[in-house]
Amino acid sequence: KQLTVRDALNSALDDELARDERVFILGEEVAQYDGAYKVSRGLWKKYGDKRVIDTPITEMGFAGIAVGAAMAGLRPVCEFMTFNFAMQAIDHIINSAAKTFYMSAGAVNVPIVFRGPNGAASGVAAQHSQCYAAWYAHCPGLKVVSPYDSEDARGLLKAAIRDPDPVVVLENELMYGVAFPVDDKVVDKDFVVPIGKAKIMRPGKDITIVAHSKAVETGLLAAAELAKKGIEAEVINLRSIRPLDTATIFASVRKTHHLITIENGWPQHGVGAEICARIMEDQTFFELDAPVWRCCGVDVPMPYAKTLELNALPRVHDVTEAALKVLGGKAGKAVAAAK
Amino acid sequence: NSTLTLENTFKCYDLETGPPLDVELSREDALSMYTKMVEVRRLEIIAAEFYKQKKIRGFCHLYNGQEAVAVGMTSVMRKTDTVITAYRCHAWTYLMGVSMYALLAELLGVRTGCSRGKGGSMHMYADNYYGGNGIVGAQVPMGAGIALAHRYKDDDGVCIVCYGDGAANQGQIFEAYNMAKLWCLPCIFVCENNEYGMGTETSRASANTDFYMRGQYIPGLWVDGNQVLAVRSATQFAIDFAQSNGPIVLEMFTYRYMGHSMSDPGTSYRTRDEVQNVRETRDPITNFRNQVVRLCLASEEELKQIDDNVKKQVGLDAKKALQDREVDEHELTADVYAKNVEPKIRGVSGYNLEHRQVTEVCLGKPKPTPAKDMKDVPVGDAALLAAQAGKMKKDGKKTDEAADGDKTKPSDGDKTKPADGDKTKTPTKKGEGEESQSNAKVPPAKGETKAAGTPPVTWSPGQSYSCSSAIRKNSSLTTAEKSTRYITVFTTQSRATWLRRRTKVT
Repeated sequence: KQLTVRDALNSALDDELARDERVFILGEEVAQYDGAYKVSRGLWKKYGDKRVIDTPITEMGFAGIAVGAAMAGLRPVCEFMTFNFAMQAIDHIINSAAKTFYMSAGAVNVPIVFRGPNGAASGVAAQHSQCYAAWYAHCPGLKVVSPYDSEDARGLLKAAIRDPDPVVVLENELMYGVAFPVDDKVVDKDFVVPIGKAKIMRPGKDITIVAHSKAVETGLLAAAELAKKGIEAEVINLRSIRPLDTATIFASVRKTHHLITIENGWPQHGVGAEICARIMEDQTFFELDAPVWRCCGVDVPMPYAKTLELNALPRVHDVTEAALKVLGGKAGKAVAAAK
Repeated sequence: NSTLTLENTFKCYDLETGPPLDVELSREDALSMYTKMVEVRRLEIIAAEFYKQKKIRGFCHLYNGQEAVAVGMTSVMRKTDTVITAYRCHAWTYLMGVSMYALLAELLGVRTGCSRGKGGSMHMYADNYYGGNGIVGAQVPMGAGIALAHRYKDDDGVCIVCYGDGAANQGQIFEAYNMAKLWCLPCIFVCENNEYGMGTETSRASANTDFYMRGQYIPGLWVDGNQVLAVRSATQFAIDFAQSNGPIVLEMFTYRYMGHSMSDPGTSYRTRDEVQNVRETRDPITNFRNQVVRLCLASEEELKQIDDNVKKQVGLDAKKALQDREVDEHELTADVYAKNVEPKIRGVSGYNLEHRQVTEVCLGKPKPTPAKDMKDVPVGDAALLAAQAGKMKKDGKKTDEAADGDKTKPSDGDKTKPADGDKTKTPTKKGEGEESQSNAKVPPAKGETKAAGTPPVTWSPGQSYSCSSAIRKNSSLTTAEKSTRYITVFTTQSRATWLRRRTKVT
């Protein structure tokens, strides 16, 4: 059975609205317009004005309202048209939502989901193309998930809505229309993907590739290329950025002794940087046969023109080249063996 | 009951009728409101003293002079109504049900504090009270959200959202006004106008200082916020109004005697005469006291008796709170998440701390630390002193503690430990439900390692760290020993040597 990421998200919202009376969606154009990216299509017709609320284009205000409603016991799903606009509301995501449970010594929890497309779209230039994974993952009190395929999208969003803590769900606009085959269990109404667990998308023994969101696709394509050369790459889809499933990464590195990370966000203080640091601080460091390497978005604001944009993000050949470099002499041996 | 007529107390904006000017006052209500105002004033006096003695840290914003607002408003609130306010929140916190003792304890940062020493002066919560908020204006859309929850749950409640004249210029307030009006939320926006936003007089910060009119499409009411009866009457009116007509803006015109916070003497932007003049002519407590006596609801002696009792009682609470111990260090990592999924929290130097769930989930009165979770060892300054006192003794003890701590750490090498070993431990040992959850999370890593065909890895220090195959051998060292040596490796072993040795092997 094929399911697009958009329908996966839509069905997740539908399930959870039906399951829990306290769940409601608010955001710009979520109701009558059917969602700016049609993620909430049909939900307003089904659940009405009370459960699916169109807001004015005032992110700080409606994010604050959503947080207040969550503190008072509701379970809002606050949609940002894109996460670029959530910067206007970041005070409420971090100061109001993430810190309240701790500051109140556990008296007031904030069961809220902030969701929307994150990262580079196509041809929308710098202000609309940015990955916020590292921004939110920096903050204790938040949980941050970043789905790649339909299974991730459906399972993680449902888990996020049921979670008693504030969860940031970083979707990817470019993936919305992509269809993935899914099992029957994925469309079950109680299917959830646990927050904090990564998924091994492709097992391998020579090198580990860690990625999240759309970069998982790059990783899988690169792994396919490497396979032609006789190199078996293990591809890990992080799914959660915070908490970071280091156990899975470490176990993989203990097997492959080589690691590269891919992300579409900027390199400095990014997700890849964090993974490097975690490895350095763990005994897994001594399992490495070569330095960890990062493939990231180029360290510039996103340009508009197609060629420039293409060059600003890690591509398959960037990853394969990095992999060969990291593997060094071993790559040569593998190639020879394959021949 | 006495009836009296309020004068010069209201100005209406876009309202057909205002609150009634003839109000009734019973002896019971009079004494209750008087007592509360005196209590709140006393609380702030003590807070100021503690601050000057450096017992209260950080920011401390006092409410002296504004008591009538919080006391008047809470006096007519119903059980379903809710409050959210800004950082000048001591009075509101007390009036919304936190005891004087727990409040003072929180200011002092001791374990009995209402936010267990993790919130401090600006972050205290109670039933139906969503806190002080340290970010200017942020509480206003949140308050509108609480009002949305009232409407959503159809529970008949209204939310009282307080902010100052300084915050009144924040953009998000107008965003909140807009949505509150659009969605007809039962929300009372209360601008406590104490004439200064920090040190900036309202006329220097606001193009329109009629804060009750600044909702534009939202009706407003100006209230003399120093007359508790006016406040009470206006609040009653506003609650009724908000339930049926949606939001309303109240401007409570008041004054603060102290500086913006304790670090502000409050004298550079206004004259001492100005403050003195308000104290003499507009003081909410003195005026109400005179009113009560004039109406023969209580005698001077009775009120004096109340003053004395309050002084004594608050003094006792303060004394008691002062004797309490600081919050235990292990609460540093308590209650970051309602449902924690990360086994470890990073300490200053490594993933050596564990998340703890001290409170039950959730929504309600802050819970005290359970007695079993309180360690009876000195923390903070007391710990420093204790350390100085018995340094030799402590050295030995500390190593033990470190070893203890490490034994509970899940580790790949620690294979003998069952996956959920902590579940079987006695409750006094650290380890709540959360911890067993976290332990349960680690073993899959072992499983994965095995599945991958590699033996379980134990990093062992000493001679063998120089090559990867040796590292992968198991070690008989305890985790405590490993962790100490682990650091040593990083400081003594140069990367070059390490790489050279590794290259030989691979």
